[in-house]
Amino acid sequence: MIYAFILVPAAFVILMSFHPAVIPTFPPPSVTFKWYIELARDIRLVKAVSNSLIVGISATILAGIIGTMTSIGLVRYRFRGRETLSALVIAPMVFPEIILGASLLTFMLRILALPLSRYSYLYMIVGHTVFILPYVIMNVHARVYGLDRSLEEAAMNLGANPVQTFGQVTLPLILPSILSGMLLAFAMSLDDYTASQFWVMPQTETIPVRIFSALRTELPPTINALATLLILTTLLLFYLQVMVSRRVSLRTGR
Amino acid sequence: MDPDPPNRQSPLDKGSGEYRVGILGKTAKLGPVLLVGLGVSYVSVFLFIPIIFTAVLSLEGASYQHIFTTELYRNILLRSLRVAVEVSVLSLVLGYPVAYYLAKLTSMRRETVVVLLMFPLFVSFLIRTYSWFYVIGSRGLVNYILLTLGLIESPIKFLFTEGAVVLGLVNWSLPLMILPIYSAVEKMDNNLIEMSKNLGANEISTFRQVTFPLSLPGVASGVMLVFILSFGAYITPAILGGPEQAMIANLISALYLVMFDWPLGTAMSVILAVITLAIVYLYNKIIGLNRLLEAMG
Repeated sequence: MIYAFILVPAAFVILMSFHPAVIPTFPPPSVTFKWYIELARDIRLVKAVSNSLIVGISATILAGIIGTMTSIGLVRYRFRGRETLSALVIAPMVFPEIILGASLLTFMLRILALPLSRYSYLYMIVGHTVFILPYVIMNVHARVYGLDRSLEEAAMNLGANPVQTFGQVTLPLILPSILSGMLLAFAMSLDDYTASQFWVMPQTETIPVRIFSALRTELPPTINALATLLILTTLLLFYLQVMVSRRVSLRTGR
Repeated sequence: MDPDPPNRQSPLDKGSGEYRVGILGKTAKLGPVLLVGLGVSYVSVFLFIPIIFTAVLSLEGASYQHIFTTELYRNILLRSLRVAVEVSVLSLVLGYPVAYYLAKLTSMRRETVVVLLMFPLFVSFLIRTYSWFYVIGSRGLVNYILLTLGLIESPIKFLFTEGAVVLGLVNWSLPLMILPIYSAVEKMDNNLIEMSKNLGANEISTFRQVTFPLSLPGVASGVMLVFILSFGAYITPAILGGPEQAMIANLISALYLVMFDWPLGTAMSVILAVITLAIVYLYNKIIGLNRLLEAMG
């Protein structure tokens, strides 16, 4: 019902990516694949894809590590100010990204004196990590919270030290959640424009940046083709995420 | 953020609640500091410190005065508020029934619903937004239908109006509104509803006096989220709106990247940040951010 409302427009992009003419009209007169071929030849777009991957994967890995550690610390230990800190870490999710983009730019440029032209990738990775971190944390947190301690205690009782316990008992148990969070985080990074616009240079343009600037000028059908591919990719990510989450449930029977 | 995990007392429990079982077996003080410290310091350094720095910087010029006295900027602020309110109300009105209905559905397990709602978030928002061109644009679906049916002579301009922006934002906000409300309703104790019926109340009264009030925390979460994100929205007004529909985020972007007027840009950012924080603070006071975490995950 409402669901259709949310998704139908997206279906249109996919539709239009097959449209032959340059300016799409509805309904499309015929179907063609030629824009996809054009896509592969467009150097700027190919570069955008690789940039998105570079930034996305780096940020996701970084967020995965930091997020997991933070999550575990927040769940397992009690200390003063825990609530405040957990709110703090989730904050990037509620905060308008525009502020993140603008202030990080200001900060890194003025205080850290890192010229954008040379450090654009750094800006991007650092910045993306900040706003995708909450996604990892939320996923891992739920899992760690409900984890049955007796397994770890059993390991300790059998003589394993804390490091071994973590590596061989805890980590495998929470790994699906970490992956699940990372997949979501990656999807978020892939789609970001609002914050990224402050940190990109022409060479470090990512997919959303490229799409957005295309919207400003013309709307070449190749963009639709790119968009469709992006949708398919994220659908794949989503599918993976669901599969991973299922494994979690099956393992613990919850 | 949560009471302690539902684990019984472990023999390893030192009594103060500090566990020795963990990644670092050393004094329990070191462990959390290292772990949590990492995450927190990362966010702090790259989010909060920059914001504070930006705020300080903004005091350099006489920007604030300028902002409030210039009609253009005032309009943008008001428009942003207005749009945010409209979006919040609309998504609440549309979302609440959906959330309620979903919660009452006994066949679906909680996880499935969450997954279902999360699904649209995976698909690129940018793409979802501009695909509206094909639906409400002058050559899009809606106009096509209206023209073919002979109801209109020439295409109606739906795009680049405030309505389009609201539409786009509601589209985005619905899952965000539905999820917390669904959580709240689903977690409600059914006994209360039973009791209400036993005492003689009909469906409507039960809803009005039992269900709805109990769902309010969820409603508040949803409204807060939607309001904040709509208020500070960039992409939707940028794509679906024209220059007339510019909102705060668009202004900030333009000031920074087009006009290179950083003093003014930082001042606007601060205003946005302050308003956002005020709302979050209010919410935290009344409801508590922990609720949000529960609702989402």
